[in-house]
Amino acid sequence: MMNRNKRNRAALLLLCILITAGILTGCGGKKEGQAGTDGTGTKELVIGTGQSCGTLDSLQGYDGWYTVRFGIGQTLTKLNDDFSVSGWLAEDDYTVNEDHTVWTFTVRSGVTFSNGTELTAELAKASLEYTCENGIRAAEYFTPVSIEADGQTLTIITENPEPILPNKLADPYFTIIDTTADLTDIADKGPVGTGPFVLSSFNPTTKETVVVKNENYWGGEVLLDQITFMYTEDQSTLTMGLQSGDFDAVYNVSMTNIDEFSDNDSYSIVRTASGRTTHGFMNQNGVLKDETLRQAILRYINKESYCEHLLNGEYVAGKTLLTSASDYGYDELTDINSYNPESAVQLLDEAGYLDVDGDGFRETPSGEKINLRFVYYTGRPEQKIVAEATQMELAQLGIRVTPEVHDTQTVIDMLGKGDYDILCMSINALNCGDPENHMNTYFKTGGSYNASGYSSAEFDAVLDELTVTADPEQRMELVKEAEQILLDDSVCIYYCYPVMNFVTKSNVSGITSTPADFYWVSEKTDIQ
Amino acid sequence: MVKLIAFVKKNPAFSVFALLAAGLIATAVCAPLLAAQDPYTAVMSEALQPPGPEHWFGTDWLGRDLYSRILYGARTSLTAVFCLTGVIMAAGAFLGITAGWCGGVIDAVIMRISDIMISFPGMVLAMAAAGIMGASMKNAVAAIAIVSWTKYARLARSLTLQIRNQDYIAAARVTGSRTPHILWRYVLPNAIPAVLITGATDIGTMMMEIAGLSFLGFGAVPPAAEWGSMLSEGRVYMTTAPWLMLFPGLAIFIAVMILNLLGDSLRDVLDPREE
Repeated sequence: MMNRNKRNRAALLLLCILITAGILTGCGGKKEGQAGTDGTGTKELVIGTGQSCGTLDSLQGYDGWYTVRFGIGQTLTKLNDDFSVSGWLAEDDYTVNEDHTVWTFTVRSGVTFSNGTELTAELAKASLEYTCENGIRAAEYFTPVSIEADGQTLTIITENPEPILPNKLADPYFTIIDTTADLTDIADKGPVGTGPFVLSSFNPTTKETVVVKNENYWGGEVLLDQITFMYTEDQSTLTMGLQSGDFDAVYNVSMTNIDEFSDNDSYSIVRTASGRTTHGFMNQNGVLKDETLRQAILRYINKESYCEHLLNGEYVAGKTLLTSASDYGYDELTDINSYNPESAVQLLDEAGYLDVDGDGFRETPSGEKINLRFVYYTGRPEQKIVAEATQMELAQLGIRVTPEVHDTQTVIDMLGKGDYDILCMSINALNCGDPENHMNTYFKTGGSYNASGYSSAEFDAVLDELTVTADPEQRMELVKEAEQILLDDSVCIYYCYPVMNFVTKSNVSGITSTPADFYWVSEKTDIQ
Repeated sequence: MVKLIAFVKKNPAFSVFALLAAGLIATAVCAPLLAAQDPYTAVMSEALQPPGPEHWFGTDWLGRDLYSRILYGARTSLTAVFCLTGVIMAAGAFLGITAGWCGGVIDAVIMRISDIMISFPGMVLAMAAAGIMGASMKNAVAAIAIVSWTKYARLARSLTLQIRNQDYIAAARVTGSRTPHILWRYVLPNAIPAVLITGATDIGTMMMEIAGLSFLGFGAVPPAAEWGSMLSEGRVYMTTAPWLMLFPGLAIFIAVMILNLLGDSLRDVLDPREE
């Protein structure tokens, strides 16, 4: 027995030493020279992100965003921080005829693709036609009757008026790529673009992407030699990676951890109120077909409290589809389903949603059990909190919710297929500086991501009118009208409007966080 | 009573740890009485409160009382671990005794399956199994059971091989006992103590493995109070609300330590040869 005790004591001592050693190792210093300027003078940057693409084919889903985010591709026009649009690969002098059916752009001279080919109107035309022919979402933006090219002059002719065509062309879906290059392996090798960086490697499994300096860049010298985009949806990995020095910059640091960086001189933070809205899509093909149930859910969710207490005040509570940071009627519109828990309970009681079997959860009036599948992803920090808070709150209302977590790409696919009861997704509704496309894609009958079963003739008619209306004030009114219809039809939960951020080490410059949310790096991005 | 005192005097370590383990079980059983509030009720305005008189262990990101969740977590964790250990002991002993007694093809098949299981790293295989079956506490238990029964089967088999050649088995045969009777009356009672001791020393490890699977998201699903998943969920708040990791971590540490030491001392009691 004595021997055993001695042995135990020795083991305990060893264990203590090991634990202490482990803790001290954790506190250990940074790895020197991993990022930044190394001995050979190459400048490298590592960016951590919870968002990445499944392929580099810009026509797959929303993968085109990453062509622009990674600095590989550019568009004819560019969205500014005030949601206005100016030229990028096209000059600022674009014009339109009175009917808004003939747009004329001058393609900037001296622009070359990364393979050295010069960008002409002819190649811009080929690129746009490639997108319109192969992209399933293209028709939701515009359908050209013809595109004509003459020298550097590009003319786009449409059948219906397209008053905001320059806005639409700023969407990464219309990234200008060299269609004369080999496109067969575009998913893995990426397109040939005009951006300051060229793809070096892309791993479809880990989604780690490396881009290197475009030696043929048309817009001046590219300051960095290489950028590595590291993908993980784990929020603590992103934060700790930045603290440990593994990342030089992180896209969208969690609201929980942002304070640790804001009071620290070693880091700088770029913040923007984006055009994003955290949507909770409600699928009307299942039990949520019943408007009363949807209304009760909407009325029971205390979004103000989510934002104030759970999201650290970094988000603005949602009310309507479009963010309070825009002028689209956040203060004017009437939400018939604003927070009112008593009325939610009353609605369900009166409609016959009662807990008959005594399991603590209500059944439908016909006696079926309700179990709402709440699909979400963790690539954005608010998602998990919103999902679990909804589950918690609705349980108090007597509605059973089962959260179901997947990676972002899978959730996007599930949204398109309608494979959910409630699906939480943060979407930039103003990615063109105008919500028309967003409404078309997600809420109009037949929209490519409208699998929720929502179909309203009234809403469709307003959108049809919006598409051909040029007057900005009239457009504004039509958008508000459409928003009000969505509110009145109790279509979607608008949880919150995120404030986006990019946290970088203080020696990093030229990384941007913009309302568009797809301009991350440029030729000016640098590390000292 | 006198016997009990004598036993305690003879086995002080076991008595102390048994008492602590009983305390642990009592905590789990009486969780509703001990808890300050419902572990599933969220008071959003009280999210991420540090430990204090109001909330002894603080609150989590939804404003749920952590102390109450830890208490209820004991229920989840202990139930799962006892089920798991029970299942693997029963399955392992059954398969091991069958293999050892029958021999031949049956022995070969059972033991080769067990060899296959052993040739994989246990936790990785459990993760794969839990991943395929989907996240739930039941599946986590099943996944670990799938990879952990082999040890018991091998032990039971080797004991059976020893026992079947004993004189009392031959005597039983001569007196006309049938095989099921022999297995039940002579083999099982002689094999079971060793299996039990192994099980008792394994409980701590099993608890760690269940917590591990939950930590990785293969076990308990939200909002269930389970220590492993609470630890995992608290990770994001490690720097801002360290109590979210500290208390579930401590709970796992204490429970595993008690169960491990109890297992060790149980071995000393039942298997006094070592002294």
